[in-house]
Amino acid sequence: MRDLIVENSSLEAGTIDSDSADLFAAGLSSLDCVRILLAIEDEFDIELPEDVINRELFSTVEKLSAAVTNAVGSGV
Amino acid sequence: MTDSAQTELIAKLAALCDEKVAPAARDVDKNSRFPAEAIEVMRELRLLSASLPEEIGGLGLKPPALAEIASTIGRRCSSSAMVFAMHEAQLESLRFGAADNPHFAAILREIAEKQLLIASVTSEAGIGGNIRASQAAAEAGGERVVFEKQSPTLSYGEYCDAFLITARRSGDAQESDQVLVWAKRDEVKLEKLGEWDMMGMRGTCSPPFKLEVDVPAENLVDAPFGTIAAHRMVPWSHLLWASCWEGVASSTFDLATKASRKKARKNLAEGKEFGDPRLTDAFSELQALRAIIYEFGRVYASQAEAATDWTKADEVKVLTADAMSLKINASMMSSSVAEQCLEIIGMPGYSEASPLSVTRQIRDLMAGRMMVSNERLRQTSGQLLLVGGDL
Repeated sequence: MRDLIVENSSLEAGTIDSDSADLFAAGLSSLDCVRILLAIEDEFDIELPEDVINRELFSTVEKLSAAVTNAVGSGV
Repeated sequence: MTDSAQTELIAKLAALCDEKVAPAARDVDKNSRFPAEAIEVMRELRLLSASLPEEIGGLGLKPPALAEIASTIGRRCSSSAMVFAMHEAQLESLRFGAADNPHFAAILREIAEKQLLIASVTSEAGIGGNIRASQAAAEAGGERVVFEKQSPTLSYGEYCDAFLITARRSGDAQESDQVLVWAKRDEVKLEKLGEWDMMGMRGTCSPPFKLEVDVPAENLVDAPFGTIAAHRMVPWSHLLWASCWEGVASSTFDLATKASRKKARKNLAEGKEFGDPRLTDAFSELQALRAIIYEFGRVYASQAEAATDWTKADEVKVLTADAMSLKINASMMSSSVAEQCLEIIGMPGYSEASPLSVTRQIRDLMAGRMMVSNERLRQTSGQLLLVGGDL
């Protein structure tokens, strides 16, 4: 997930020092969020439900991972 | 009702509509059948007395909240939202026109208690769709009022619990000297004169009917119908219809977004430019539509608050030209949004069977231009605007 975030955002490798680090504080932009969302959906072949797509979702690696796990688990 | 209770109500409505109304929408459209599921949801949430005061069993909701309800239902099923809008305009017309009349106070309580569904019988064969003219005459000679009326389109007439019917005040009254007559279902003999097999809004089930009305004389609403129409039936209808269409248009936008995300994922993965500028265009028009609805709701709510019933009607100016402009704009803009969304989605949007289909929505939204035709409204409004627009 960290690699995917780095590949699809303006963040550089090494700026995310933990899964609970605040990505916005590290410089994540809203357009980065869009790219990350699309890349996640493509990579895992899922569609994240509208009601989980908000700023909080993109705030940490662990929140994104949890959303993916949920979506994969529910077969969406 | 508090703001937070209203928010909770809308959330509950959205959830129930997702569960019961949306899954039935295609069948309602395909078979031109009445959306009974939606009425059940409305009854469960007591929405059939949404605008009545809380002390008589209503929810006490104001126009902006009612608009949100119409939009929320419209996102799932256009016909269901129209039934809500039409019922609510009748309910509010009755409450406004009856003022403190004790006979109608009891009827309003009964509507709230039993969640009665009211149908409107304003149109009449031979008068060309002008609600401010009637041929049928309510002769109130004795204890009963008996008359016949032929309606070219009577929405959900076979499924309602009561009717509000316009008629001339008497046999020698002018065609525009009208009264509103309350009739329970068993006080009207209905004869169906044709079928409702239309392009859209098929679930409103609005074929022509002949009505034989036989009601107690006290069922004539006190206020002149002209006052009720100007202060309630016209603005209330146009606001709620517009909100219903906004909801329908919003549902097409949701589908266009979904389709665009799919394309964007592919483009991003291939390293191409992603995102569709047409989505921005559709959103801009949708937001403009929402803004005119919000603005009319805000201005009109304060007018309605200032004249709570017809005896106080002279204290505020009516907003007829504003309401007509809202209706004309909303009918055109909602259609335009849906058509743009069709182009964004492409063939799946054009298919009746695809989960991304917007065909039903586009057909339903076409009704907006036809139901009280925009041509008629433009003509009438063009006359009213010569003297400032609001008489």
